[in-house]
Amino acid sequence: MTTKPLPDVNDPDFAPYFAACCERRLVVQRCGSCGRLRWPPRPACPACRSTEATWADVPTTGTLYSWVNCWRAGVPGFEDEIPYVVAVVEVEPAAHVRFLGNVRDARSEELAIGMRMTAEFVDIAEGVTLPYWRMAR
Amino acid sequence: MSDVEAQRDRRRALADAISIVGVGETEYSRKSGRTPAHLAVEAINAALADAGLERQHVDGVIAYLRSVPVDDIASAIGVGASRFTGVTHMGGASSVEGLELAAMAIASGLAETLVVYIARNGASGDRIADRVAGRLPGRQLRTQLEAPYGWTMPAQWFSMICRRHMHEYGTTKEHLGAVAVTTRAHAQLNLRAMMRGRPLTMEQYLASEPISEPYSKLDCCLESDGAAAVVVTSRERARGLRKMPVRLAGIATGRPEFTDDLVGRTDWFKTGVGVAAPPAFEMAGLRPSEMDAAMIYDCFTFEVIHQLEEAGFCGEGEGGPFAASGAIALGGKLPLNTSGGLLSEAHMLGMNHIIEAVRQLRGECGERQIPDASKIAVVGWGGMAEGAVGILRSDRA
Repeated sequence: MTTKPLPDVNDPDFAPYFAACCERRLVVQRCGSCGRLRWPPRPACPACRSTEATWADVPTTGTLYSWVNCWRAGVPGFEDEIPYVVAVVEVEPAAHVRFLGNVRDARSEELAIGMRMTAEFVDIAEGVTLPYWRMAR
Repeated sequence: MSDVEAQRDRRRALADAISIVGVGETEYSRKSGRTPAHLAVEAINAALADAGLERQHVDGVIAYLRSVPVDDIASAIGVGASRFTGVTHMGGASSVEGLELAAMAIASGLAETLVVYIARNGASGDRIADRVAGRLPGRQLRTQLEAPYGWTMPAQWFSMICRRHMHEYGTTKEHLGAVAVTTRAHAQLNLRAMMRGRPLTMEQYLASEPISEPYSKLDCCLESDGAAAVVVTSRERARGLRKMPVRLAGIATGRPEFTDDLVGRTDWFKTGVGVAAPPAFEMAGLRPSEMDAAMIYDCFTFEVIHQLEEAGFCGEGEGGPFAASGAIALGGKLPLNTSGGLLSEAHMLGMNHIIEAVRQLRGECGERQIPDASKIAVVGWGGMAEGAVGILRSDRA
């Protein structure tokens, strides 16, 4: 049994994000100067260069922006799931805040861009919770 | 004069300042049985012989960051005391980026004659598909946000953009297939092409096994062992050499909004090619519609369609119908990748596109020769959509 690659939840740039995932929340950075939401996390705001930032909750629902159906994996742990879907979900309130994740409850043929999606938080290892996505019911 | 005009004038000084005077390559295969350093030396020797130059004429070496180190090769070919070394780092755009670096070195007087090469055992050794993600910008984002979901390979990244393009513009699998089938037909006319002898029909293309849908196997480029090299020199030095010089009329590189991240870009269709193309064509004083051919980085079929749009050969969203119209075939309005390209000749990081453009401009392409070709665009695409655009012109044009 091979295991999937795990993120480093202690990486200081990402720790608040992964901590929020454990609480079934999605957070992104909010610029402390201009207020722009940014995701993925970066050392400074690409709009105003400020290094001040806080973490802000965003909705755990969104719309399907695109997806692919993978028949080969470049990393271990996906052997039993092939083909698996990787999707990008756009989360309000900012169009550029998009999350990547697997869709585990639907086959590729059932998906359509613009579809409503909901985050599903799964504890995949000790102290590691990741958001996955499913079609909103 | 405004700062912008002053910079434009300085850039214009690069136009036609350098020429490609020699090209060469090894055999392309799936198993070279030799080290990349040996392959590099063979390709460089072939390019120097093509130019009619000797190693003592070379005072600079340029190569891609992930190829055999320039210092190793400078030492191997006996130009270790060269004045200039340069390392390119734009993934698949690096070969065209190498021409930009060479133009800067030569126009500024830092060097006179350089070799630019790529060498790799991309099939038998360090397989490209398995390694690329760990080497490009944004490694932390790949590790933290993408690898846990099994999204690690270029075919998976770019098929994600392709699906969105299909949604917004109606691009179809048949449009993608037109790129694969057309360039495979071109490869049948090229003795060096790895896929020579294996023609492809649209039916076969559509039946190809899925890799990362919407991409199937035949949307993906080859992985190859081999090396390819070009020799560049000043326009003055180029006169009187063995072959007709091919001038670099325009050159530019560009990057997308975020070079290290695809998912978070405001507009997925805005790439480095769209940044690089306008200044490159402006430097050359030419328009995309004036090109006799285009050699476009074909890591995957849709990336060709995307770059046709971004480089200005057609409007945004029109790349699919353009490709399917027959325009990109030999005899069409804009013959594309006449060697077969990365999809059907070999994956030489786009150096084979530069070499093909040079041979077309010299009239050396035999059965696949474009009559009277005098102006050809070479477009590179690297990483997560960096771009490089070079405009090559025959010295008789």
